[in-house]
Amino acid sequence: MDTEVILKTVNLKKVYNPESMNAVTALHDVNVEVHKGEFLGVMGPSGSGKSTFINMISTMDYPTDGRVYINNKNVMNMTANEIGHFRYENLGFIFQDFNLLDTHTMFENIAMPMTLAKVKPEVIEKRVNEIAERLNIKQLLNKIPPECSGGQRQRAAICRALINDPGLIVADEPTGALDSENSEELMELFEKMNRENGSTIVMVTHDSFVASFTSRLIFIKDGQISQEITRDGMDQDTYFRKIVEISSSSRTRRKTA
Amino acid sequence: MIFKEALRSLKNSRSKAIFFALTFFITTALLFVYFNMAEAAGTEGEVYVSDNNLADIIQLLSKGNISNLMMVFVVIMCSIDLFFANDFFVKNKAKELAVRLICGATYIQLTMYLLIQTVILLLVSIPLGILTGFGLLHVFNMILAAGNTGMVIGISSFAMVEFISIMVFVVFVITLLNCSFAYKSGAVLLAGGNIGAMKKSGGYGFTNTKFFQLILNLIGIAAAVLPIAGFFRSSGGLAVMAIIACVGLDRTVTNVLIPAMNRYVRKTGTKSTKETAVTGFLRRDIQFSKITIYLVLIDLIVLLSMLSGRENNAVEELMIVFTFISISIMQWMTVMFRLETDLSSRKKEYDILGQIGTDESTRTKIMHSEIFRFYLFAGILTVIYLGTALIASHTAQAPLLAAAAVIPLIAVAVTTDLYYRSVLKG
Repeated sequence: MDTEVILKTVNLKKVYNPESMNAVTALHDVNVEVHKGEFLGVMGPSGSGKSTFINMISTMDYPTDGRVYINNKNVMNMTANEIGHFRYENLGFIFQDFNLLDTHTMFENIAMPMTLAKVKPEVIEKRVNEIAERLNIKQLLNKIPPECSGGQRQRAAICRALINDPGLIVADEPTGALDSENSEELMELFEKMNRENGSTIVMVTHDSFVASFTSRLIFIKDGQISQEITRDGMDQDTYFRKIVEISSSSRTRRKTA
Repeated sequence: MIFKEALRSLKNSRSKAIFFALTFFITTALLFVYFNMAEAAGTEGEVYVSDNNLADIIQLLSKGNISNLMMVFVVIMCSIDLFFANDFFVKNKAKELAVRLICGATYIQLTMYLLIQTVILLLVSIPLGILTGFGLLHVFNMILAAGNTGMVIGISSFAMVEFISIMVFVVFVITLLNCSFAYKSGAVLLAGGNIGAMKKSGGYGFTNTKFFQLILNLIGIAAAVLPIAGFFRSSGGLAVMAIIACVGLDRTVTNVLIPAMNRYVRKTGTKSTKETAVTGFLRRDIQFSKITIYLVLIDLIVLLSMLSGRENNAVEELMIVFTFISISIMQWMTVMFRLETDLSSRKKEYDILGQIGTDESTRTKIMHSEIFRFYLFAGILTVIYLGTALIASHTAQAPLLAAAAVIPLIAVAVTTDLYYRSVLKG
């Protein structure tokens, strides 16, 4: 694995409603480094701050304090227009509920980042066909999302995330809306992307089985990183059992009065 | 490419685009007619300013220069209605904009995408509104001639300057506001987690005590009820009493009615899913739309106060009645827009009801029942507040004005019901 750092957060902090009596500190002093080619998982109980963390690193929301560097660029210093270009060049997003536009065909959905970047139509056509073939949805390109299954839609969303060859793929509960068979297929695809293409992936999940496909896993609890484990050559079963053990002990741990 | 995408987006949100264009069309016609009528009625264009503000405002509202009041009033009301119509239109595009944002769209691209759609709708609705305005002036002149008033409403160049200035200003401000709104809300909309739930308001010290809240509730109820009796004492000051009544009503609805509905929901929870769901939705709709309902009532009563207790010339009378009818239509449409903006989250809840076993026929009954009760709530307030004000005003146009207040209410209730049905079943 290359040691180049793709993503770095420094003392990341997020407070919601800071002016009110009901201020909520969702994240405090989170420091994370993600290297090129890593497949990082983020786990934690509901309300732990993992979604807040993913929103910070994906430029969808801004921290109250701290910095986020993607490819050595401080995203906090960018203007609104710069962020648009930056997202196209560096980031790919995958969401739990796909976020495809129902009024556009699968082709148009996948092509959207390149269309917005004003890439030539013939280049777009070639690239979309290539990537759809790789993910086995070429036959669906003329259909609209409501005509496709959840698994097919998620593949289209992945195609859209990969179309511009981003340095970092951010996935927020990508298997949340899928059945177990599709979930496993999707995770095998992620693993393949990571292994064969060297894609760097940061994925939030609450599912221990899904998390067992990652190479490193951080646990967030009460807005802070409570634990971190790396796969380090473990087979998937052993890694999975270790994740379950940590998750269970984290759920049963009570706060002291 | 952006132009083609914007056109497609417009085509896909046809019904919302039509509502948006309709509001601009009505506003254009109203403002066009209003400014020309004001000139013909022989009134001045300046706004009156005084040192003794409260006393003079009360005097102005009962006896003052109509144009001064109505100009500010009509422009503000039209701007608010246009804002809500635009809000309804843009909020429904929030997800589209969010997806484009994460695909790398720049702020300029998003702004252009929205602007193109807005401009297309304005290019259709504004000329049609002006043409309709011409037509209405012709009709009003026929009415004035039939009444042997000797008055004629012409097209005044000064009025046209006022009209164009206001239209340009309103369109410019609304477009800026909405582009900014669309960009700010876009990306976070796709974000996961309970971020929305974390935005709660807090309270401070003694204001949170039960006793203090009880005192405020009693004052609110008194403020909501007493002006109704006050309407009958004098037709002057109707507008001020209407404002006081609505402030009290807001307190009563928020702190008495809605908590009572909460208790009812908890009580019926295990006995009737249908009743629980209806009351739950109704509670939220009232909370969401109450301000717009109060605005309707205040606006109509303010206009009524201008009509009553003074000697208006024929054109002024016609102007006020015409404005009353137009404002009533536009503002009930605004109430409808507010409800329909909320439709996407309502759809999720209806789907959840289906997932937990509520059959489609029951879900449909829940929807009809909730919409009926919501508009019944609005109707009861209209009958109580506007009805008593109409009686107190002793105006000859009372039946016409009553119809102008109630017919649009019924029309938007039916439209909302049909619209919900088509979206929720879709």
